[in-house]
Amino acid sequence: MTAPLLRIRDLAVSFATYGGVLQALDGVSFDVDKGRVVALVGESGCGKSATALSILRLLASPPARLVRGEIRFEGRDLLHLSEREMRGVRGARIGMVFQDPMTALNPVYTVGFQLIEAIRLHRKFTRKEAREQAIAGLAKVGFPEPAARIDSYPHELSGGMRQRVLIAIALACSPTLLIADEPTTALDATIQAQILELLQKLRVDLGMSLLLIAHDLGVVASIADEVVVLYAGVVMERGPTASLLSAPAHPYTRALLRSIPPSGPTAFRTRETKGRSLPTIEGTLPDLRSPPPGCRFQARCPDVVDRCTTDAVPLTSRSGGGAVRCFLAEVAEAAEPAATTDVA
Amino acid sequence: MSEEKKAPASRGRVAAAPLLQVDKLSKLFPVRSGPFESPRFIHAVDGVTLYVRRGETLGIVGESGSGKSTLARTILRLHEPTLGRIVFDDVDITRLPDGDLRAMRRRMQYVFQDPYSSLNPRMTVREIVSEGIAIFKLARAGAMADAMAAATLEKVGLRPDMMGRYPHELSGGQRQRVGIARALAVGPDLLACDEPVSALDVSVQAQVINLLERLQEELGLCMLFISHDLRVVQYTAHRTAVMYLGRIVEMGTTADVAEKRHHPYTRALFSAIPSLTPDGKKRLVLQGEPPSAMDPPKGCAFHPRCPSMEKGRCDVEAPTLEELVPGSHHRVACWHPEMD
Ligand SMILES: Nc1ncnc2c1ncn2[C@@H]1O[C@H](COP(=O)(O)OP(=O)(O)O)[C@@H](O)[C@H]1O
Ligand SMILES: Nc1ncnc2c1ncn2[C@@H]1O[C@H](COP(=O)(O)OP(=O)(O)O)[C@@H](O)[C@H]1O
Ligand code: SF4
Ligand SMILES: [Mg+2]
Ligand SMILES: [Mg+2]
Repeated sequence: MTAPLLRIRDLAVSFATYGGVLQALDGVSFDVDKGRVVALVGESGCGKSATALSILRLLASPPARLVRGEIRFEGRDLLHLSEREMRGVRGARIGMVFQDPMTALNPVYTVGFQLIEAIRLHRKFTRKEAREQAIAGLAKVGFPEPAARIDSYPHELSGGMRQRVLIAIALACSPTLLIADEPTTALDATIQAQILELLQKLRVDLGMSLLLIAHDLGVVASIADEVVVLYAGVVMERGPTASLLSAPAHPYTRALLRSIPPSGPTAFRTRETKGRSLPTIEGTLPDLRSPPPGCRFQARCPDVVDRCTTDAVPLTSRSGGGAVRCFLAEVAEAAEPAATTDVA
Repeated sequence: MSEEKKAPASRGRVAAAPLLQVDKLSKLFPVRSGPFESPRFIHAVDGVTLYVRRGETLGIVGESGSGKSTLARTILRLHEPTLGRIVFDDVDITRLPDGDLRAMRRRMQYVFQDPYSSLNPRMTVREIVSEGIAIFKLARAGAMADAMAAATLEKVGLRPDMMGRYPHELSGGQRQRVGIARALAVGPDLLACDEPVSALDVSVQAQVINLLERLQEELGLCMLFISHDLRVVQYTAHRTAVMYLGRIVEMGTTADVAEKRHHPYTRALFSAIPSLTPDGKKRLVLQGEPPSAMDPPKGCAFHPRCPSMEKGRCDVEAPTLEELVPGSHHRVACWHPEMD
C-alpha cells in the first residue's frame, strides 16, 4: 500500500483564551489518499477550521499552540518545516479556499491582478504570459467571459463568481491537495450545486485530492468518498461515505443525519405529512476549556451509559472500513472478528 | 386537491378573509450611475399578488436577489410601496400615514436573518426584548415590562437568567431565539421571518423551525417564511411561492408545488437540493446566475436559463401567473409548464 497523500496523526491544538486554555483539537487522526475527496463535517466550533489551518500552519501562535501530533504530506513532516519551506508547500502543493469569498479577496485590487500575483508568486512568467494563464484559469472554473471580465473588482461580482475566482487562485499552481473550508456555505443552493459540480470535475480532470469542510453533511455527501465526523475537537466516526450514511455507528452521526431536512431530487415532505416535528440535537457543544471526562458527546447523547461519563473512549476500527469512537458501537462490533483497536 | 381543505385549523376559528392581502405590489429602487444621469430602476418586486390567512405560513423561496426581502419589507411598510395595494386585517395600509401606521407596526413584526448583526451588541437580552414593549407602551418600564419580557423569553425556550446577558455571550441559536422573542414581545399577528435559520447549523436550524411552528400554533400567527433554502421552506410552509427576479413564478400548497413542480425554475430549485444518497442519476444543475434586476430579460425573465425556452415566444412575451386547473389555487407563470 502506498502512503496517503496527507496523513494526520493524534493532532492536538489548544488556544489560550481569557477563560483558560481551550482544547480545540484533541487527538485528531485521518488520511486523505491520492485523488480522493474527504469530507470533514461537524457543527460550528467543533474544530474543522482549526484542522485546516493546522495543515497549512496558518494558526497564529499565540494564541494557538501545537500540543502534539504529526501531519505528513507527500512524505514530509509539515509541522517541522521551516517557514520558508512551508511557503513552498502553501499555494504550490496545497491550495486553500475559504468560506467567505468577500473577505478572502482584497477589495481594492481587480480579481485579475490578484490571480496574476498568485501565478507569478510561484512561476516565472512575464506579466503578459501570466495574464493569459489567468484568463485560462478563470475559464477552467467556469467564470463567464474571462477575457472581458478579468479586470472586475470583487464587489462587482456575485458570491458564486467570487468563489470561482478563489478556486482559480487556489489552483493557480496546480496543487495536489485542495482544502476547501465551507466553500458553499454562504451561497444559494443553485450556486452551491454549481460549485460542487465544479470541484468534482476539477478533481477528476486534475487528479487532485480534496479535503472538503462543511457543517452540513447533506451538502457534501454526494461528492465525498470518505467522511470524517468531528465533534468538540475529537473524531467521532470516519468511514466510506456510503456505509457511514447507510449504517452510521455513532449516536452523533445518527443525530446529525436525522436533523437534515429530507432531501433528494424526488423526496419532499411537508408540514402536513411529516409528523410532529423535526428531530433536533438538543444542547450545545461542551465548554472546551474544561471538557468532561469520558465522551465529549455525553451531555447530548440519547444512548449515554455510566461508563461514557468516566472512561476515555477509544477509536475502534469497523469491519467495513472506517472507525468509531463509542462504547456502544464497540460492543456491537466486538462480535465481528475483524475488529481491532485503531493504531492511531 | 382543493386548497381550502388544507387550510390549517387555527384553533377552531374560521378564518374567512385572509389576514394579509397583497395586490400587484411593486417596489422600484432608483439607481443613478452618475450625478447628472437620470436614474434607472431596479424592479426588486414586480407586480406580486398573494394572500396569507391567520395560522398559515406562506413560504417564499428563490435565489439571492430575487426580491424576497424587499417584498416582505414593503409589505411591512419598511419600504414605501411603488405600486399596488396592501390590505392587512381589512385595512388598506398602502398609503397609511405614519401616525395611523403605528398601531399596525406593532401587529406586523420582522425577524431578521443574521442573529449576529441584527442585535445591538451593547444591549442586554432584557433591553432588547423590552424595547418594543416600551415603544408601544404595552407596559410601564420596570417590573411589569420585565415580567412581560421574561414570559416571552420562556415562550422561545430561553431561561429568565439569560436576561442579563449580551448577544456575544449567546450561541447562534440562542441569538435567533432572542430575535424571535423581540418580535413576539409586542404581540404581533403577522411575523415575517427573513432567512431565520440560514446562518445556523443544521442541527440548530431544526430547533428554530420547531419553535416557530409551535409558536404559530399556540398564537395563531400568520407567517411569511423567507428562505433561499427549499429544504427548509417545504418543511414548514403550508403554501409556497417561488420568486424569480421580482415575480412569483409558481404558487400553491407546498404539497402541490413540491409534487407537481410545473415551473422549470421550480424544478431547477428542487434539483439543487443536495442529495444524501449519491444516486447514479446526474442531477440537473441550473447553469448561470440570475440576471440583473436593473436590466431584466424581455419576455419570461427566466428564459436565458430555461431548458424549455421557446424562441419567439418566451423571449418576447411575459407569461402571467395563472391556474393551470381552474379552482386549484395552484398558479404558474410559464408558457411551457412541465406536466409529467
Ligand atoms: N484564534 C482563536 N482563539 C481562541 N479560540 C479559538 C480561536 N480559533 C478558534 N478557536 C476556538 O476553537 C474551537 C474550534 O474552532 P474552529 O476550528 O473555528 O471550528 P469550526 O471551523 O469547526 O467551526 C472553537 O471553540 C473556537 O471558539
Ligand atoms: N435599498 C435598496 N436599494 C437599491 N436596490 C436594492 C435595495 N434593496 C434591494 N435592492 C435590490 O433589489 C433586488 C432584490 O433584493 P432582495 O429583496 O434583497 O432579494 P433577496 O432577499 O431575494 O435576496 C436586488 O437586485 C437588490 O440588489
Ligand atoms: S415561459 Fe418559457 S422561458 Fe419561461 S419558464 Fe416557461 S418555458 Fe421557460
Ligand atoms: Mg470553520
Ligand atoms: Mg434577502
